[in-house]
Amino acid sequence: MKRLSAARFWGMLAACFGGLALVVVMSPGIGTQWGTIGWRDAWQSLFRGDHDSMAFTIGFQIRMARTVLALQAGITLGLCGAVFQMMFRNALATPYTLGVVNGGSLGALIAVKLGWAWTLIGLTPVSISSFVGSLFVIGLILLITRVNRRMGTAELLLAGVTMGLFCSAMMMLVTYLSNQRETFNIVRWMMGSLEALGAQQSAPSLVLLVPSWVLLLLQARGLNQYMLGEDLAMSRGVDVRRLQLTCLVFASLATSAVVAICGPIGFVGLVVPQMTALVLGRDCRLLLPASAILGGVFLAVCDWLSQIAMGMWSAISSTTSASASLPIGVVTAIVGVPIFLVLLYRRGGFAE
Amino acid sequence: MSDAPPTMLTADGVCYSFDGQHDFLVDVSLTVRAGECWGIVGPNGAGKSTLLRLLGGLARPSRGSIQLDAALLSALSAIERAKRIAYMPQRVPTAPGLTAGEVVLLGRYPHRGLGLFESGRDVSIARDAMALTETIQYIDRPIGSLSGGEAQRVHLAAAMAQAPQVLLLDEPTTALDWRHQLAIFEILRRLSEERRVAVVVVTHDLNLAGRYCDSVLLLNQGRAVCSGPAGEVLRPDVLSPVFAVTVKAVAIDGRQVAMLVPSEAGDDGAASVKGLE
Repeated sequence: MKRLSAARFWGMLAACFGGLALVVVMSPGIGTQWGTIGWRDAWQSLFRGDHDSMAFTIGFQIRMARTVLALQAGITLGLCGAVFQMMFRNALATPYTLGVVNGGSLGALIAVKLGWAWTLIGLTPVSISSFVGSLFVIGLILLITRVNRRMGTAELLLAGVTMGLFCSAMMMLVTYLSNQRETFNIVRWMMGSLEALGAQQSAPSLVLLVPSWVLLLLQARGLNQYMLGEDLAMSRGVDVRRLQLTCLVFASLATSAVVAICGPIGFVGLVVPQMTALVLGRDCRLLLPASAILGGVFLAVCDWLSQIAMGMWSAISSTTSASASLPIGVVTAIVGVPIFLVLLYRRGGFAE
Repeated sequence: MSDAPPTMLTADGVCYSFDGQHDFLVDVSLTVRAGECWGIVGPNGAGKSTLLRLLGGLARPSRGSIQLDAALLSALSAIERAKRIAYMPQRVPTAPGLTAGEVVLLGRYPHRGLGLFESGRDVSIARDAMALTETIQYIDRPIGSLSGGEAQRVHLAAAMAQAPQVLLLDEPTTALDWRHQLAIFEILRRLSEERRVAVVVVTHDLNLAGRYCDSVLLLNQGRAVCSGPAGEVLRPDVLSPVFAVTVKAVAIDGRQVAMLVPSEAGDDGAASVKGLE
């Protein structure tokens, strides 16, 4: 009988963690200043305790910090994508489906437009305003769908998509009223970025992210029941309302935090859970943690590609760009879309 | 009566209103004993599914009470309830990517321990349930690749894997062909006779209800019209006014089993059926 045995679970998870470990080990060798500081130099500086050296600064304070940011964003998007796809029983659901990203973007755009310049616990006004925008959208959706208890997940989706469209329209308005420099900054933000923010921004968001990850992972068995419908899950002893609320609130909070810092990075939340489900099956006990880890690995690797590609582009065009990498949202799309289309073609559709 | 089997599930004067204005159920009472098979019948919108959901604890009656054994159903925790009552909804999502075996193992959820994985005992109970429903050969097939009748038997196996004392089923034979309809009811009979499970089944097939259920509750517009032994409820004079059709009972092969035949009100269409005998 095919089932998730302890051996299979730990074996697959060990493989995922292996990939994660490989990313972490390689990280100090890949990225900015490509070619000047090697992998060996960076690790030697760490083990020699040479924390003032150029090798340490570039290897760990820049490259590793950036990878850590990519990992936490990827883990969040992979996990929340899997949770939303299971919760809505819809293969096309992503962490952004409920309009969190539109609310977050609108918030960020307003901050860019107003040109605020201050920081709070290491966070920029753009991040904070983006987070507030996301919270506003989630709050409003929760309010209208939870006060009226007859509203189900279909209404929730509809409310979320509508809120997203509204925020998009408002974003257009803000962009329309902006001058060229503001518009440039807005467009840049919309591309998503893991640029040079490092540990300063990682630390405060982890306070929110880690508990959210744990809480979402704990819903795995409930979500397994939920796959067979709300009534059946309820009859098996799952508190369906609590399950929905927990998934909704914590996936949205975590996604909002990632959007606030990295902008709207697409395709991780859609493609990674799909690929994971195809390879490992849909038992959430394995699917959720595996999607999370592989999401982190996918985004970190995409980030490397974006830096390497930008390095090549700079060399070819012999221009110096202000940025050391291609926009991460572009790279995840370039890598993610072909994979997704091939899977779609080979499977003949995922939907029920 | 000391030799009567113990009472499992009791509904006492149950009313249900969704919005506080329209009554979906009015003063319905029902007593289900261990090993007994009850059929709930009635026209569309009579409140059959609503009553089943109330019996399963999926919704709470707005008035009246439901008792499981000696305990009030609403006082039990969801898990405690799920250990004793299994419910099979009318439609179950196809759940792409799960095998039939995995679907049946999901039925063990209320009995799970602290561990993350199903124990060997869970697996043997699941296999046992699949053997009884004759679905063991599909154990590693994706549930989505099975036919309607096969999938329905897999979901029945999942409900049995829950090892309930009470099994509630909402139209389990709708959309199934004759052979699979009979197969489902044969399994239900075995469950009630051999394992002393109290079975309550909502069905539109009055002939199957008459053949397999010990007792029948006839609902109409949220009210109990008649309840008691199947033979006393499933009679043309009782059914005709409720279903607004002319119902005739036709004896087949001289057996005592009556075949109920509907025809348009006022139409004497059953006469031609009689002519075939």
